[in-house]
Amino acid sequence: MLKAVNLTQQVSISDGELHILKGINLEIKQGETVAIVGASGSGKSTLLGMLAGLDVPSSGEVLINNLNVSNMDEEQRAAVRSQWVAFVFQSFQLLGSLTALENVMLPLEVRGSENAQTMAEEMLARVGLQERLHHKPAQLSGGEQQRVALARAFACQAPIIFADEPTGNLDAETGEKISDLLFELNRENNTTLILVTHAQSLADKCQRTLHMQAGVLTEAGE
Amino acid sequence: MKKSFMGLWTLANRIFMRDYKSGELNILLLSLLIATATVTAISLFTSRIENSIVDEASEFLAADAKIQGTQPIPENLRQAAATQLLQSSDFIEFRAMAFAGDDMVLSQVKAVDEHYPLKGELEIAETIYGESEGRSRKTARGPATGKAWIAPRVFHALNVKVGDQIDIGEASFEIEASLVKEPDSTQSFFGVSPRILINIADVEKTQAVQFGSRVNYAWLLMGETSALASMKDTFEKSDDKHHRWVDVKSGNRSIAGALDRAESFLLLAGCLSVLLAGVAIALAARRYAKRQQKQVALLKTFGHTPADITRLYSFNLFYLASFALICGSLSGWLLHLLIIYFLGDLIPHNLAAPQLTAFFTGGLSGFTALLAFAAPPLMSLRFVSPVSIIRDDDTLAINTRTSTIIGSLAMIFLILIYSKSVKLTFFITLAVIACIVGVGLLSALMMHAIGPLGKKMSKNWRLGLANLKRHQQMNTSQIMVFAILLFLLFSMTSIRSSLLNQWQDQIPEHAPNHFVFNIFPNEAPAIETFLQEHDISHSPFYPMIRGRVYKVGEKLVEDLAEEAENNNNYERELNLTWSDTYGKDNKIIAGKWWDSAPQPGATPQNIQASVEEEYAAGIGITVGDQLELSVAGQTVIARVSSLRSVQWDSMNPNFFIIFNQPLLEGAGANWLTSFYLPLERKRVLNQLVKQHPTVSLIEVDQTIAQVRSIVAQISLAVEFILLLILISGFLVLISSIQSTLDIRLHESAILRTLGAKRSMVRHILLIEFGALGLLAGLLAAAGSEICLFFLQTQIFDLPYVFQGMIWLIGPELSAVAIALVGWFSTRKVVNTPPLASLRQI
Repeated sequence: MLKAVNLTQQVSISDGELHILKGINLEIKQGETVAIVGASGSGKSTLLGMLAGLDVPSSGEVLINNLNVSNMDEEQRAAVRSQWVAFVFQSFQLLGSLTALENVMLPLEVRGSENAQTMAEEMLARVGLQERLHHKPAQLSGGEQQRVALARAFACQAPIIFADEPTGNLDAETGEKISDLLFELNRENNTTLILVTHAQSLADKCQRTLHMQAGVLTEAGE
Repeated sequence: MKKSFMGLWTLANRIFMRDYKSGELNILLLSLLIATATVTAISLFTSRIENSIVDEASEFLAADAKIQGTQPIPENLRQAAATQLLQSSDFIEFRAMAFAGDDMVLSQVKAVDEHYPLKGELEIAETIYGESEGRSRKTARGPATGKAWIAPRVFHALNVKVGDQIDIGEASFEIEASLVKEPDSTQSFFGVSPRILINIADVEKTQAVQFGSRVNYAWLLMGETSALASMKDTFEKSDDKHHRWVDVKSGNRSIAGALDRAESFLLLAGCLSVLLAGVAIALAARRYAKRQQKQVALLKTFGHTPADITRLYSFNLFYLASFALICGSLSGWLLHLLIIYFLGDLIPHNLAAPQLTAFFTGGLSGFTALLAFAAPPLMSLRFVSPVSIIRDDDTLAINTRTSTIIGSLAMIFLILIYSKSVKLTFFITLAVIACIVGVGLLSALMMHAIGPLGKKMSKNWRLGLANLKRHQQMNTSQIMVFAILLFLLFSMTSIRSSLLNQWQDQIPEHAPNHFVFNIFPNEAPAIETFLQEHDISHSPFYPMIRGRVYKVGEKLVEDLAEEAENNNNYERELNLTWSDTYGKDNKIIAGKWWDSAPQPGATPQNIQASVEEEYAAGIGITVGDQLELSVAGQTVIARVSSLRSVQWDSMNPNFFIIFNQPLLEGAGANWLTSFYLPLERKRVLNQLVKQHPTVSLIEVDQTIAQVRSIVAQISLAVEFILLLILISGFLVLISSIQSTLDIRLHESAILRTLGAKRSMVRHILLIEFGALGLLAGLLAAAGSEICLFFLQTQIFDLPYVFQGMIWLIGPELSAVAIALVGWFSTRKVVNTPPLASLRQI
């Protein structure tokens, strides 16, 4: 489903080269849940961006469903993202000018779905926000905003969900509820879930835990 | 915790410099720079052009202003002029017989001092028609004592040549030259006897000016505008009934019409550039304030009070104001130099010196715009709650209602200051309010209506049009800005076209440039034959007689003139005529024109008169009034049957009063005609004057050339100002789009992480901006149509013309232009990698 081969990422700085990723190799099967943990600045989010096709590595390959996104231009990568990938962000990344319903409809509209509104309404109902369809993000609590973000990610039925610190902006209780919801939805939809987190409790819910340290990835038990 | 002044000042410096370096202040600084620089450049350029135009036009008057009357100039006025350091020159005019041997002619003697003319030049020749033979020369001074410069007709009438002697009254003069042109000869086209120019010191010798003689005393003035204004004030306060003040505008109707309209247009243009600058500053300041909110909340958590925040941002405003004043004025100066450089030969070489007031105008605009449009959002930062830092709330804490009220009042104030016209301010304010309210409602309705259209269209169209409705609040304000901007541009373009067309139509290509008058009735057929033989087409022959209105109803004109608001001499002799038709440049505005010529034997009681509107208004003449006139020493009674507006600047023969039948059975009348003659055929004039030596001939081709040159300069100034406004408008457009850049960057990043291609994001943006442009264009076309109706009919005194082209191409052009500008300004949105955008947010 998802494969990274010898991924490296380096940037030029004033006193030389900074190596952010150092030869990452990784393979994730369909339906797996994988947590990437590590200290701040270890390269977790950079790796997530590479795996999701949001960015390209300095060298190495990322294959999503055997499609090498590392060789693709931005337009081609966008097409792959549209079909295979969905995101959940720490800061929700909802559009403030749109209602909850419109935010969820957005990826469906990008894909050209005919019944975007119905699907979005159903998804919002699934995350318990059927009464909040026409509220804007500013009118929702942090937990509610992340529910909208989950609904948006799962509404488009992408096979792979990338989540960057999905509970990072929430209190412990709300964070727990959101993570439960995330895994429930993942099971229901049989999606592959790759998440970056500092929270050990969240990582414990995943089948695999990968440790990122100074640009090197190691798997627990290795 | 109270912060020290120095502590706050240091912090303010740091914040300002950091924001400056990070580019946070770019848009605000650029808007301020544009506001100040544009207004300064417009003020500098227009004041220099206008002063040059006035200078050139002043040559028609031979001075900046003139006081004239039937009595010598009072001593108190001379003292006032000396106090104001005004230069002056005296001349007197009187009629006298000139003799040479047995020949004589009644001539109009003008006796000038050594300073005449203060402006412009005299043109003389040593042969009679030196000018057409290329042997004339220009001189800045009149004749010396004992010398006379005489008009060509005097040469013929007295059968003399240069070097001969002529007698005027008791004095003898040597004919030194043929007088080709006086700068101020256009003041009295008709009814004049041929001119003789002598030195004022010789007047006494002639003994022609005695007690009771009809003498016109004229006193020319030249100096600084402020000194002239002060002199005019002194004159008006002196309540002098025997003299009147004449300046460029009151002295020459050809120039006054063009200048007045140009002045109105340029003032309007100034107002609009201030309006546009205000919009740009308001948008930029709002964006800047919004981005300062987190910092303010943070400062408050560090213990800064609302008062500290006010002080902090007052320093900030002070720096912005200093920047506007220094950099804006300097840029304005450079911009106006650049314009002058590019316009090259199209503008006068001896351009008037720049005035310091132009810098003041620019600085005042920038400063007021800053205080009115930038200060309210910045000062509102004191209300930002420190809790917002915890809640990560970026909702704008600015009180938009207060900002809007302050901004609106400032705009009205600025328009009033620059236009100096309550009427113009009222119309512009009304139009803008109507535009804002109308646009708010209509754009909401239109967006509501256009949204469902997208459902049947492709994915990109569906998303683009859906965005219109989703961003309703943001888009409504953008449509408002675009619509107001387009409304101003459409209005200015249309007014410019109307003005230019009217100016160009004012003096057609082959307008008459020669007038022949003082034609005795028995000479008229011969002159008509002469003109036909030489293939010169001419206007009809008009009878002309001089007469003075002395009674309106039961009231004496003498008394009515005293009550008149202006200083016009209503007791003077007027050019009168009779006709069964009126000129194409005349319009009946009250009463009714007579349908046919009077029946033979009509009694004098049936005499009907059509009076020129301004003259009528001055002494309260209305339709139905009875006029009593003194014509050739006899009383004529006539009934006013109509009032006419007259386009005096058309260069056609025109009259204050037209009668429906010959006065005094035509006795004492001379005839007048006019024709066009190109320069290369001027020699025909010699034959005409030789065959008919008693007729008067005036060549006005110089005058027409001068009017054309002034009109060309005004047109150029108008076109240039429009270009500057277009540039300002374009920048406002960008500034407005930039103010939504953050939101669009965020949206684009989200869309692209969701799989939208760059081309899709670009299409969505183009569709959204295009639709915004179309809606704004439609609203602007409607607004400008309404505004133009009022401006054309109420301000510029032009006939209303439906602006079909605005409706036809305006919305389409605005859709394309705004789509392209929108796409260009937001290309960063499309080109920034989504991950980079998301990390910035």
